[in-house]
Amino acid sequence: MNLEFNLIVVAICTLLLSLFYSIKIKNQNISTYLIFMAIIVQFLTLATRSYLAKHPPFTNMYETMILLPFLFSLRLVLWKKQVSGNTKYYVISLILFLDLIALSLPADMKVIKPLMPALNSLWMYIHVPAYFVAYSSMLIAFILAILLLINGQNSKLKNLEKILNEEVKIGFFFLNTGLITGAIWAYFCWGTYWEWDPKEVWSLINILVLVYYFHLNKHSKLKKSLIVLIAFLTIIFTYFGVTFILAGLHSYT
Amino acid sequence: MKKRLISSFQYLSGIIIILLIFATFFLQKENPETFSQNIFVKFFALDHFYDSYPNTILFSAMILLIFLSIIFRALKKKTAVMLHIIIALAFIVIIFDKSVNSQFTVPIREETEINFGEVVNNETDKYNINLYLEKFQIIHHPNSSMPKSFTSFLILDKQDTVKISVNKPLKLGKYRLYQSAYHKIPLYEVNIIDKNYKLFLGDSAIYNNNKISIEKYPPNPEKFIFRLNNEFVLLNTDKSELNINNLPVKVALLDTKFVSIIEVAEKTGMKLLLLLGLAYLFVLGIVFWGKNK
Repeated sequence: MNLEFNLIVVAICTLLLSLFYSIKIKNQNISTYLIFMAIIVQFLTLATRSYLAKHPPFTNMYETMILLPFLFSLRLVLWKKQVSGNTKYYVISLILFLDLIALSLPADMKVIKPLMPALNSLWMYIHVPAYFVAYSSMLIAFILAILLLINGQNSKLKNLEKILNEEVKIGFFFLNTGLITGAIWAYFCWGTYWEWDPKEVWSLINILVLVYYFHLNKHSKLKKSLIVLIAFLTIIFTYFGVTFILAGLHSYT
Repeated sequence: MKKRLISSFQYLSGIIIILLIFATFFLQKENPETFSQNIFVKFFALDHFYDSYPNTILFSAMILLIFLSIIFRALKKKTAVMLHIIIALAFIVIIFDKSVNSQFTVPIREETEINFGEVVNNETDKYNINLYLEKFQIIHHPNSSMPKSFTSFLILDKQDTVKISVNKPLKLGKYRLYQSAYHKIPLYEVNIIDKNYKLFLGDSAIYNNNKISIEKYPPNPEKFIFRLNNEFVLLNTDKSELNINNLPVKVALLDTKFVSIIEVAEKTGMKLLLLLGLAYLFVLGIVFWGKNK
């Protein structure tokens, strides 16, 4: 546990340094190298956790709090053009925020717990990562939507709308992948592909809200941004709200 | 027409979203006698929404809208038409499955057997199979009380041994058998003067025209009672010497056996649904990132 803690602290320091180089010294290359270093440290954190837990690091809240910063950091490097300028700073701030949450979670939430029999399935390796890819895209889309709402009339931000559209497409595709692979897994595990479990219902709500987005007129920028905000709020509720407020078959997540 | 269809779709999906959100905050009930009498809850069937007519009607209306949008050529791109046909077909298969197919649980105690044909109420020879639960096995994670897996070892018609475990169901014709849950059941030896009985919890026997049984103690289901007609005595954990109506009774815990809870599901159209799901993702990918957008 101490090693994980130290690695997260190193990742935080590296990212803070990256922000410093990007904003104050205006050296984007060094900033990118530092993000790359943070990715390696975050990967080591995940590897340590997986090695100790003997299962992939996405089975509880703490593990997802160390997985999401890794995914966001990857996005910063791999999709450099999409996540540039102010968006980059927001995403780094968010990574730092998630890392701080991971550090401050109570000890009992960090305890390694073995997997229950239902989770011992290959489908977990497709179903859960699909959702995390979707969530990371939707979070970037959420930031872009806010930027578009604030600076709607700024012609320099025209490219943002295009990037927002791409992010929503990725988010929507992987939300569907998560739902469908989850249904297949549930069929092999519980004998039913759909149980109207609160997590399932809210996952469907996420998709239905985003379907709205694709049925809007191409030019309704404001409406599209609002839909992304609403969709993201429903995703937040699906992830946190359903886990802590509504009991169901997914209560262990 | 296109605008009307799209706005109808938006209103409809808006209603579905709102009702689904509300329904998740209501405890879903199955018994009509316990349904809420509140006018709002009753009208939208919020406390049994998932199995209600409003739910089926709303999703059926969605299918209708999709077909109307195809018929009236509201969708121009071929890939978009294909995507919507797949969605509509998937909804049809789901509605068909939910209204026709069945699913229920069957408990099987270790070292006992059930006739599968009787369980599924299917008299054809194909399902006249005896399932004998040879043993139930739980493997725990090292140094943990959390089970890693639990498995039922079944013997089919005293010949083939098959296993059912979580995530690994058994296929019997059109049925699939899933390892759902398990519990333990105690076996007691009851001695009344010169007669011995072996009774599982819930079993009963007759002694000199008196009904004897081992039952759960209603105020605390963790404890058990020995009942002789209407008289009952609370049992100790392993051994009890009782005196009921001047009758000396000895009750001793002999053993505990597992009861495996098997989920039996009849699912037709699952292969089609799986195919539609994968086709949906494939076509969605083409719609989003294909060359001929």
